[in-house]
Amino acid sequence: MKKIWSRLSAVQRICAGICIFYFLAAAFGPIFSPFPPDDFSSPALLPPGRVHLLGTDEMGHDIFSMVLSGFRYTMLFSLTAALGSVSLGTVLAFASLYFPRIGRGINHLATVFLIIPDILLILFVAAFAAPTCTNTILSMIFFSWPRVFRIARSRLSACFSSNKVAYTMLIGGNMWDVIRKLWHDGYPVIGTLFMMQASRAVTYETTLAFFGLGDPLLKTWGRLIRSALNYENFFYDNTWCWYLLPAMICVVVYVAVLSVLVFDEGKV
Amino acid sequence: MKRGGKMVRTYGLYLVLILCISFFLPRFLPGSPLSVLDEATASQNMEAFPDTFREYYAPEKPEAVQFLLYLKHLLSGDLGYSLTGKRKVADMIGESLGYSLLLAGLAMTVSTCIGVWYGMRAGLKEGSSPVRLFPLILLQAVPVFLLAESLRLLFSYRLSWFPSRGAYSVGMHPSSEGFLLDVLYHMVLPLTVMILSEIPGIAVFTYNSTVRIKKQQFVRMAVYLNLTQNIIEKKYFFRNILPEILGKLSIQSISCVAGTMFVEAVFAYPGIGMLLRTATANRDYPLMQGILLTVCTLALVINAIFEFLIQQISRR
Amino acid sequence: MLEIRNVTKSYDEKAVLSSVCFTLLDGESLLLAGETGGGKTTLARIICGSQCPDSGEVLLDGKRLLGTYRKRSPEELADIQYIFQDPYSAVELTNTLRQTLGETERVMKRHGRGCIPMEEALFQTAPELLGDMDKKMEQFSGGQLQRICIARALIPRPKLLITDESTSMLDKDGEDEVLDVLHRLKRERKVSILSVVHDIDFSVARWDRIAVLFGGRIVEDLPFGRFLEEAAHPYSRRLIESSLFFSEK
Repeated sequence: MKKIWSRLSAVQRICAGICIFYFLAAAFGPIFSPFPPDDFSSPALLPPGRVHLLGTDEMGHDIFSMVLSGFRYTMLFSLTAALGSVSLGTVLAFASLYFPRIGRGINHLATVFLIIPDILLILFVAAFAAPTCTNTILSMIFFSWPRVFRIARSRLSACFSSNKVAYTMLIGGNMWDVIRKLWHDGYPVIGTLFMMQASRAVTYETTLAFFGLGDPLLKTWGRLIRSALNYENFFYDNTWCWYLLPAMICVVVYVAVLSVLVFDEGKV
Repeated sequence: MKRGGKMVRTYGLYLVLILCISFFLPRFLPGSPLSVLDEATASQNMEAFPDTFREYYAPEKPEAVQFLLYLKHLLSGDLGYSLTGKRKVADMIGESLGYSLLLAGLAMTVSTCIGVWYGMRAGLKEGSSPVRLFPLILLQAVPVFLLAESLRLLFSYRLSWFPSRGAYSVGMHPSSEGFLLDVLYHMVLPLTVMILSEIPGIAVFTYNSTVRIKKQQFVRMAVYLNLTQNIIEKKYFFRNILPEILGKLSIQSISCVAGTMFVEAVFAYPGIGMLLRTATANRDYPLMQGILLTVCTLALVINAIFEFLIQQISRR
Repeated sequence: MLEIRNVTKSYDEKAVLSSVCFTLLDGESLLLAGETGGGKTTLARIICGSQCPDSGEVLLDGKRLLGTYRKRSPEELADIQYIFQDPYSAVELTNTLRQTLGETERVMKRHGRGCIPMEEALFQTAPELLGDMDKKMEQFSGGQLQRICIARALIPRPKLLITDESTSMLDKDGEDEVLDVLHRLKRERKVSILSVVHDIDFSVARWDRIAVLFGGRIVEDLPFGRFLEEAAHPYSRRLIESSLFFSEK
């Protein structure tokens, strides 16, 4: 742990710190939530004050509580979608190199999915299928693995043609022997891919919510942003300062921080 | 010539895959009215749909027949009948496609020029510090529809500098006086949003490519031989990063098309994005499927064009 | 023991090997010389199975070996061992010596192949490193690394060792170390050695035979002792001249 921290630059440390903050907020945030996020018994459209730190929305929900609950959902979506797509993508990348005959087929499939805008497919699925959280996450994994595949494959491909891996295969080593040989050169790319996918997942969720898709009951930041934008006086008064901005800042900071980390890591 | 044949075969395969995806996706999603996984609920849901829907999809027939029927429809340009617009989907998309292509095309052109120029300049500066790219990364982190809404709030409502919706003012016709200017006026905000959202990706990529080439030996040699900055820039860098940039542009164009759709949805700009918004809001399946197929085919065509360009350039 | 029959290989319509034929007996060492890019490494790779010939056969003890290593049996793979030109890229530098040799032992045991213990193999090639089993590979010199690679090649009791310009990345000391080891092995363990080289050092009579590959064919195949007098092909004479030129210096 200490070794990793000492190798990071100042910028990377700030970004890592912010990520840790988000994670802690997701874990412990709801403890500090003054109201349950779906409680709409408070007076509507109150500006920020002592009781309601960020005011209330037009139905009477406490905005601060909703923002706090958003941390949890964001972490859920981004971590599970990232885990799923990175696992699927790297496993397929390895398989496509180890079994070159099916490799070409998988490569073509991945190319088609890369040509099509993935957000469109995810939207499509969200519109057609039952709007549950699981479906959203599954569709994110299913449509974003090609991006992981492409990057993982190009990084692993260089390893596969190296002499040390050639040796392992020439003595009759099996898949696991090859993975052990590849590991040292290959695992850094997994970390980078994970962060990249985590940030994309949040962008997907926000976009889905904007189109009114996805689970309507979950109080995610995307939902919050959409309600703020749909509020009838959005363009005319200053409600957006405490209604839209907090959720927007949370989303943008998360995505930006992860992008900076990815940018520094591997110039992906 | 051999390479050309291979390309045609590959893209033919991709087209077939897209058709399969377009056909099978609604049939495998749980909760979809066309679902083959849960036929009982699906047929229940079907009751709510008009006859035109049932005629087009023919869910009672076996899958293979449905697929052939689908292909037959496509060959005659029939994309089904929209539930909300009560018109042929193909007509609705045909009318809207022009605006989307205009917006996306202009945005791509302008943002490529600015992005490549900025990225190269930043990359060539001494001591390549990535810090100067941070504002771009921050910009890229904002979801495109949020950027659109924010600019709309500021420039349309608060400052009243630009109109907030539509491609032209109410009551204007293509034959009216000043129609073109009106269209341009309405296009400023959506176009600005698109350009702002596309520049970061291109600029950052160009920067990375430039920095990488800068570190290569032959460029160090040119610097050593005291060639001026300008000559190095033009001759070596651009020619070397061009194939990579084209590759990135190929991907970026497609995300530009997707982004355009979201911006249109925000500004009620009469392109495909507007159609998509009404389609998803009203669960208009034929329209959604038509849009999906159109955009996917468009993406394939764009990709093929870029592939061809890259091949031509790499050959020299 | 090893027979190459009419092996042909082309890259992009350029014939790199045309009907190459030669044999190698048990315990014999053969020096394969030729120009750079002349197909020597391709031939070595075809023998060990990392590339497939367009036509022709490779026979080990009379049995035909299949084209690629994926199709060969573990026994066949263990019988022929390949030493890479660059020892730094042939091992995982962050592993320890024990892990490197252990990998070979592990894979061979899994296939039920009779092995010699890793310490014994290392004793044959680099006895002074026996106490450094837990040192990381990156800490060894080029010559030491190459001798470790030879040690791990000995573990499965191979019949043939193919060394592909195995000393060209080393300095003079490293080169001497490696060549000494190879000769001792040939004398003591009766392993056949096929050594692919760029140029030949005639000062020491180390090899049994020399074969010269030129224009995709074997143009000369003579016992080492008779090569200097009897070599007829112009390229062989050029090899001899350049070797004498450098050794005189």
